[in-house]
Amino acid sequence: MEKTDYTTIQNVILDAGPIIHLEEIDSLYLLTDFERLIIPDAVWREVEYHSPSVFKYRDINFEKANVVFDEDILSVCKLFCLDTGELEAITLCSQYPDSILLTDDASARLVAKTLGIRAHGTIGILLRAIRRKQFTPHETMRKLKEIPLKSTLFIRRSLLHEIIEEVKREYGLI
Amino acid sequence: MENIMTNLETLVRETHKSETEVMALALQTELRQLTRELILGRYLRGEISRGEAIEAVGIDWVELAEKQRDAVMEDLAWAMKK
Repeated sequence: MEKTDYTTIQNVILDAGPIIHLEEIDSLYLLTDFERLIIPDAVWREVEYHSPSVFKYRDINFEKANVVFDEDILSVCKLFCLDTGELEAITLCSQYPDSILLTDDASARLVAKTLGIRAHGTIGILLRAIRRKQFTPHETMRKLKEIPLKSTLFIRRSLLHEIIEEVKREYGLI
Repeated sequence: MENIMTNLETLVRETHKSETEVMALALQTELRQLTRELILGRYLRGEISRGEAIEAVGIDWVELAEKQRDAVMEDLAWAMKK
């Protein structure tokens, strides 16, 4: 598989999860590090319903996109019981080559992997923020700790603890 | 603490249970969750087999833990990339 240069990612296709979860921990602006933030129609509606404040940030330019359905992708998504938003997000990835998908849904990530689409989630964005100098390691650790308190993202506590320990190790904070 | 008290009051009001009953339920739920965490953690560290983990917490939790760990590891590799 061809390697993607992640420092020059231009198109990011968003599922609702990362948008909502990043907003819940006041970190939505981390998304401004990407060139284009593309949201499929169904996801747009979902976010508008659950977190209408998301679209009030003037510095973050989300683009709404219509999806042209593909029968093959549709059947794989149905097999994994993905909802409309995830289905549209995955389909949209096929319309934007070299894009990455941001989703916190484990099944959606599995489907993405099956289809050769690169997918990452809220945790990835928070960790990437250190490398991209948007956050210090301490800031990222603070945000990770806020997840169970402020966010609806479900992640096992022990796994979160492991990630925090990994950040400490990586950045010599132990 | 204030949040906890508000939540407790809401639960007492909404469920028509006494404060003691709600507290007992909360403790029971938390203990179950902590036990599950402990077992899944032991499985992911290779201290117990997959079969033992499934027997203890069920296949759904084991699969969720595996998927979540894989996803997080991928995110870590991506994010830490120099």
